Amino acid sequence: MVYYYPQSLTNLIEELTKLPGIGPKTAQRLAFHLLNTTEKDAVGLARAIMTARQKTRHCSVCANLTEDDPCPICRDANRDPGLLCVVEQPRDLFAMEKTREFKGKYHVLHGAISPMDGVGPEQLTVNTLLSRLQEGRVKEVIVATNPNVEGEATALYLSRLLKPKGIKVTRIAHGLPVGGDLEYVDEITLAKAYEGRREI
Amino acid sequence: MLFSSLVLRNFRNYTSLQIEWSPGVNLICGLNAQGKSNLLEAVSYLSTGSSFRSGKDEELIRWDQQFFYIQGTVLRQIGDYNLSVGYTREGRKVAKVNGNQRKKLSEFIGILNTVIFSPEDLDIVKTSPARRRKYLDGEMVQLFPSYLHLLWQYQKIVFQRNNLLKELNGKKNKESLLGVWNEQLVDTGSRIIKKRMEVLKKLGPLARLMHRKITGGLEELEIVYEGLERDEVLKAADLNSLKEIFLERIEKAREEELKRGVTLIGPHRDDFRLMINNNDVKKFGSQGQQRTTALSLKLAELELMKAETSEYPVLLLDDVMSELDESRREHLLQVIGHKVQTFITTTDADYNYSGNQLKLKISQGRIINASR
Ligand SMILES: Nc1ncnc2c1ncn2[C@@H]1O[C@H](COP(=O)(O)OP(=O)(O)O)[C@@H](O)[C@H]1O
Ligand SMILES: [Mg+2]
Ligand SMILES: [Zn+2]
Repeated sequence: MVYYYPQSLTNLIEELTKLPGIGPKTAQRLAFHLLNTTEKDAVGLARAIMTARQKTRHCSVCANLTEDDPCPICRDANRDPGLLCVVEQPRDLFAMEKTREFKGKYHVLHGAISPMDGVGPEQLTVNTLLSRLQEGRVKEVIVATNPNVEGEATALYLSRLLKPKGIKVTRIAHGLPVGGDLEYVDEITLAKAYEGRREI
Repeated sequence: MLFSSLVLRNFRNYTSLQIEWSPGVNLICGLNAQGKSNLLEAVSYLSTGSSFRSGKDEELIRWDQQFFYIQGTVLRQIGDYNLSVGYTREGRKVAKVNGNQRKKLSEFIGILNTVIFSPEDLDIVKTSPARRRKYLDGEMVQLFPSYLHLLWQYQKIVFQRNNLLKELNGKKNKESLLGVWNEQLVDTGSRIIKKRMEVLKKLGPLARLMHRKITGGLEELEIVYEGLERDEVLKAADLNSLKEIFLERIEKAREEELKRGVTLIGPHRDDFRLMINNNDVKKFGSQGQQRTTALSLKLAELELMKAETSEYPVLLLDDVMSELDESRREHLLQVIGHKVQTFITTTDADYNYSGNQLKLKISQGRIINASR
């Protein structure tokens, strides 16, 4: 007779394997770590996951992750409402914020156009973006989607959509590695990229 | 450029190996299936970051092992480089230059340049456009590592665009999205075509010269790029006019593309034609002419790399000596002279090249004899 892990441990390992970037070996290591850690730490982690899930939602204006709706950035009166930076994911927004260069507002698309994944403009927050622009306060839209083919397609799409409406559309791309993901770009390159944005 | 030493662990049928190479000709002898080509494969892997025989890195790991490791030293005019690649069965690949990890393949390729010539290279002349594209792109990546980004990007665009074409079939209203992908396809695709034409413009005359020498001036070899079906415009084209033509063609092909759900125009469909005295070698060339053409191409490559990098690459000759007739072999040796470091595999134990400085005998993944 061969013995395997107890059922509950196997379940834990399986759940961990579902996480991005975690293979079976890492999942096993993490599971044993969680079993060996203090009760307080383990419960703390479980609670943190649940609390983060319950408290955060998408801002009804910009679709960023927030605990309060509208989010602090949307409510910030010191930010220039004439500048709107469009990003793919909340993490891109936070990467941009870290540069401290940008003083306008944001719009989070929650993805990029990708036919192979069945993602078109309808799957993104493009409609809310359009109604935001209809208010007429935005003078320039800065498209900061990732510098890969999907991000580029999204930028081109937005530019073709918004330009006829008389809105200036710029794209930050300068200095970004081709095919690289924005979140991995260090802050200095991103700050430079923002300065060197071009009209599309 | 000199490839001065090689270390292998668990690569193909080698458990462990370390060799100091000769700067001249390295003769690798042995019976069939002993590991001669595997050695050339390892050298070439350090040059391109992939195998010239297998698309799967996993096949290169010794059957009973979990990883392979290749390390080599390259001496160049601009300095010495230590290259290494490790690959595990889990699919983790770590490439290093002088001990520093390189995350991008394009930062690893191009330090060791190689030209490999094997009997399968006859396929370049004889078989499909896909084979010729693979050959040309492979050479170009060695010369211009950033070309790899263009190729990857283009591949991704075609893949995405094909998905969209399939989705659009029958739905007229969403065609505006296609324009976005057309723009990217045309932009990246035109850059690829332009780069290929630039390279062929240099490779062509060199190949013609080589071919003339081998045939005693009887045959004129010409390489003609075939893309977008408008060669007269292509010849003079700058990037912008290329883009215009490309866009025009893609607009014309729209209906057909929508019907078939695939991208029909672009560098992923292009080809180059090899002509001897104005006749297509693929269709009308004799076996001998096709062989000579392959050889001329390879020798031209050698000269092109020399011209672009100011150093001769390392030449890898896998089983070709016995395949070539006396006069072609003679010519090859003459080109190699004393200026190109060369690795020759052969099953002929008696084969001797006058200037060879290292002769290895290989048996079952081991060096059983080395004479200098
Ligand atoms: N991953 C591998 N592990 C162990 N042996 C291998 C592996 N791949 C190929 N071989 C062995 O390598 C030999 C072929 O080596 P090769 O260099 O192509 O031969 P040749 O000397 O004829 O050029 C065969 O005996 C084959 O079984
Ligand atoms: Mg062989
Ligand atoms: Zn908000």
